[in-house]
Amino acid sequence: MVDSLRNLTDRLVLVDAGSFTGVQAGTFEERAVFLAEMMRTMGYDAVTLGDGEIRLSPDVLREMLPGTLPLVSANLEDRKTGRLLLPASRVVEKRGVRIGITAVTRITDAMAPAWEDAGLRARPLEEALRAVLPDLRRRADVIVLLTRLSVAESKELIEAIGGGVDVVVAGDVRDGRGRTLAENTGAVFVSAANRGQSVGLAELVLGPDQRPAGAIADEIGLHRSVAENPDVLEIVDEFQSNLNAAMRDRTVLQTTRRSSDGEYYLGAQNCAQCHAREYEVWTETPHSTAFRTLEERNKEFLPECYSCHVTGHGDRAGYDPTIRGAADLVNVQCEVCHGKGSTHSRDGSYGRELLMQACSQCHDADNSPDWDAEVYWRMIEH
Amino acid sequence: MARPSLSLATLALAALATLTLAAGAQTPSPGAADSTSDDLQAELDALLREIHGDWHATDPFEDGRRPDLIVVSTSDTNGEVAPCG
Repeated sequence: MVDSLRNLTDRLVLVDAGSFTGVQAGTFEERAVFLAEMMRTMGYDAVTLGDGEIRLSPDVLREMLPGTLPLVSANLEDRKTGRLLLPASRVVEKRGVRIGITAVTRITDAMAPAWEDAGLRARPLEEALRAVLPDLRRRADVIVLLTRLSVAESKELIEAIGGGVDVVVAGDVRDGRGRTLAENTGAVFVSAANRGQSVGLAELVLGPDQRPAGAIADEIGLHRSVAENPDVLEIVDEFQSNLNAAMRDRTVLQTTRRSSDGEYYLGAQNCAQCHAREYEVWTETPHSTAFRTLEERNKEFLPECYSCHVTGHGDRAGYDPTIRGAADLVNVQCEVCHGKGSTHSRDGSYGRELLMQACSQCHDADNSPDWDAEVYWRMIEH
Repeated sequence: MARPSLSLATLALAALATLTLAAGAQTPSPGAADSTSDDLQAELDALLREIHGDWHATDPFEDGRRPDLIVVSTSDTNGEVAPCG
């Protein structure tokens, strides 16, 4: 999409409102570094930091990212020196139009200790904006503000400071998102969904003085119908393969399978001894080959991927690639839905209550947007 | 836990090398030589309609004006590089 737009206009501004760092076990920092490199290569005009980035090691946070990305923040400061961590703003020119970009980050209560440990804190948002905007307005025709707030909270903030911003990118989508047109603040607000599911897109018309004379905004879903850039796909595939190999090499095979409550998984082969018909049905379902789909994509060692392609992930007795014999528990086997079979094999009890709960653990909105219990059940009915 | 055979720095360098190789294809386009021409404007209008879907009417500002500046934003990528399956 960005490539297509850039082929037709050189007045395109590309920004990121932060928290590009996730919580993926063991790989979040590699992913953040990769995404930063991708944003640099794609020519992002400005990026700010969110709660996600505070998980990064100090050298990545304080050295690598500022050396890679055009970071801005008007309110993140060093606790010791009281100085801003990053430039408060930057101005980019797009064919005669000067765009001033600044940002404010709200630190959430949950992540406040991590920011404190990193020697950082956030100045009050209003104070920070009142300090940066007057000068930025003198140097720029259009003002873009990146916030770590929801759309509603961003509106309150802009109202509180009396306007002075043209485009607000609301980076915190947990409290709602969506497009909204310019209102009494004089600004247009836009947000994007998490995990790259959508982008925000604001369009402005400019007056003779290059100042905004109208704006509209929308949230654009990045569905499969939006063409992928083949060069980017190749880079992403290579990165994922490298990451998968690194995770594979980090594993140290242990010799015993850990147990939690003394119960354990039997594995589908054992279930088949008494439930041959059900086992045969299962072998015809995608559940029985779920792990292979990851292996084919070099993602079988990534916990955030294999968690829904194995049996018992998260249970001390369940699948763990570092445990010898773990291969018995690849794929989505009987015991994902029916519970550990060791109890059942002794007293005949049956984990019926787990059935539909188990589905929703993986068939969620992110991973299975077309999920319909009735329809999907017919695909595995046994 | 064993030390990773591919360290963070190695991964980053590998990514950097790959990106550098691909930079020719990824460097932002300088834009059209004359993006104010009618042809390019029509192409941009069509692309924006395609991107927005039905919501984006043929006259988005309802007075014949066309966008002079476009801001594309992302946020909360949360480490997502590509879907698992």
